[in-house]
Amino acid sequence: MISVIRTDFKKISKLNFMIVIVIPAVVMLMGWGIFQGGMMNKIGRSWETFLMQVNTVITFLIPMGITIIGCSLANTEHKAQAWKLMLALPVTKRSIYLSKFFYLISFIFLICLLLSAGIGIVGTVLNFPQNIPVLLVLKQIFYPFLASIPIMAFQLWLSLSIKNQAFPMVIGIFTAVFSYTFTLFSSAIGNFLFWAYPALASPLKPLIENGKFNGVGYSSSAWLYPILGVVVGVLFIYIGLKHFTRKDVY
Amino acid sequence: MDSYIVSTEKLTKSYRGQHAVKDLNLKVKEGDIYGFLGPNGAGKTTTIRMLLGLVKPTDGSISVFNKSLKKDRIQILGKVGSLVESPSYYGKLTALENLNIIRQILGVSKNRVDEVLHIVRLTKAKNKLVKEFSLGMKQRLGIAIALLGNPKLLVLDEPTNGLDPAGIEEMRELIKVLPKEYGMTVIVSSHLLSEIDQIATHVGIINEGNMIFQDSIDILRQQSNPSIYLRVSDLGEAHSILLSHNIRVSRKNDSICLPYVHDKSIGDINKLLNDHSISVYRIEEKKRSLEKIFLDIIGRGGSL
Repeated sequence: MISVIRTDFKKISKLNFMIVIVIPAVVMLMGWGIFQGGMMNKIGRSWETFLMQVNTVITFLIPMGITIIGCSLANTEHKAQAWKLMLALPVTKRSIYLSKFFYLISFIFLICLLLSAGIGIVGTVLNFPQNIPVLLVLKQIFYPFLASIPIMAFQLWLSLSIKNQAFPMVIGIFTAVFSYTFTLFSSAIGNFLFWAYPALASPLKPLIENGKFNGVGYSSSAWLYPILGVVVGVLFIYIGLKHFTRKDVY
Repeated sequence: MDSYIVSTEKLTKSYRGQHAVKDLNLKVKEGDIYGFLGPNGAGKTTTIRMLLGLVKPTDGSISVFNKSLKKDRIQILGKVGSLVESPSYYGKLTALENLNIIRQILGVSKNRVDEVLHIVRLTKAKNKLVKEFSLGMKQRLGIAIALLGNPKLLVLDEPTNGLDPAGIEEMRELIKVLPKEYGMTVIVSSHLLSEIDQIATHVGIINEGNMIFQDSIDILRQQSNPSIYLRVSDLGEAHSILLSHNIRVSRKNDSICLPYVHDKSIGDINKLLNDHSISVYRIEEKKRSLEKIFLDIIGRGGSL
């Protein structure tokens, strides 16, 4: 397992490191831009409104990042026609699969770390009246991180199973775009739509009055989705792993 | 009894009820170069992928080094090197980096990388990106990767596919020395008999998923022993005369055919026919090429 992880690192495309830099940078720029443009002045300049804005961007960009990195990790092997070589080496098929997952989740974790730091810096620069709410910032980033584990497992499985990466890419982008729309389903259905978990895991939620965005409130159920994310995620990893180790390699 | 390196029992793979490989009993002894022969789509690649644990058999069992592949897959694969069809390589990495990735997984020493580079003569090109390699070089890198773990068994699926004549010749020479110099057993598949003929000690011929011939190459070669064909003025008469003298002959088209006999016997037969006022127009020796035998075997679909 360790040797597979170690050697997998050498195969990783530079694209992945770029994504790790680009996503936090885009989030910061957008968050900063919205406030500098004065769009939020009516509702009030506060950490909560800032984090709320950042969240809408994150819940789209994190699944996008998962999609692109998942495709890239799988594509190195597909392009190298390396499955027939890798899977005929004296290592378990499980370790090959889990190594890919390890890199996917690590890259996303790295993105989240950079995001946390970036939010702290940009928020401080924007000079909100309150002190930085460290716990809220961390929750705002890492609740959606944990809640997106099922998406990681699902996208990785798609990318590893299908040679042509256009298909997992389209599915990933489509579900990322609609991640917010999925939250509008009633929770009975919504809980099965795991693509909505990152958005639902935000501890803050927009208050809508008369169809207009009117401030930020606290979500009462946000804590549920990181837990659900881990549980469903582990289940998906298990199913993907079973499929990967059993299927014939061509 | 079991001195086999590879032995399969009723190995079967079917896709939606269609047999790709059926009841295959493949036996490979230590030190053999086993030529696995069959036309395209006969089930060679499927069989080889099953031997490497890449494809799960529908039925039957595989044992390698007298161990069950199902149970001891990892242990077995540690002593098996493989090159299946087109070479696998990470194009953005150099040959050396490619080898090092596999080396670390196999846990062999760094010296071994230099050794295999030397064997396939890629030492000079080791720092070049593999995507810039010619197909022949990529294929040689594939061989180097296969040799990296000092395998006891080397499995090569169509290793000369897409190579130019010089590359094919080189590959052939390389495969030939492996059992002698490194004590390896080699399974090499091909759809060309001429290729197998030059390197293999044993041959398995597969067609439509069935093994239709499996023995040493010498047995196959015996099939190509020449026959003697006689063209005579009276075919029927000549035939009955020869039969009445207890000479095994048969009629083929417009000739009389007899198995290979010595020069003196031919002289006697000629004299015998002349004595019966039959003119002998032609005495020909015809040899069946291995290629022809191969096609005959496949055509018949039966056993030899």
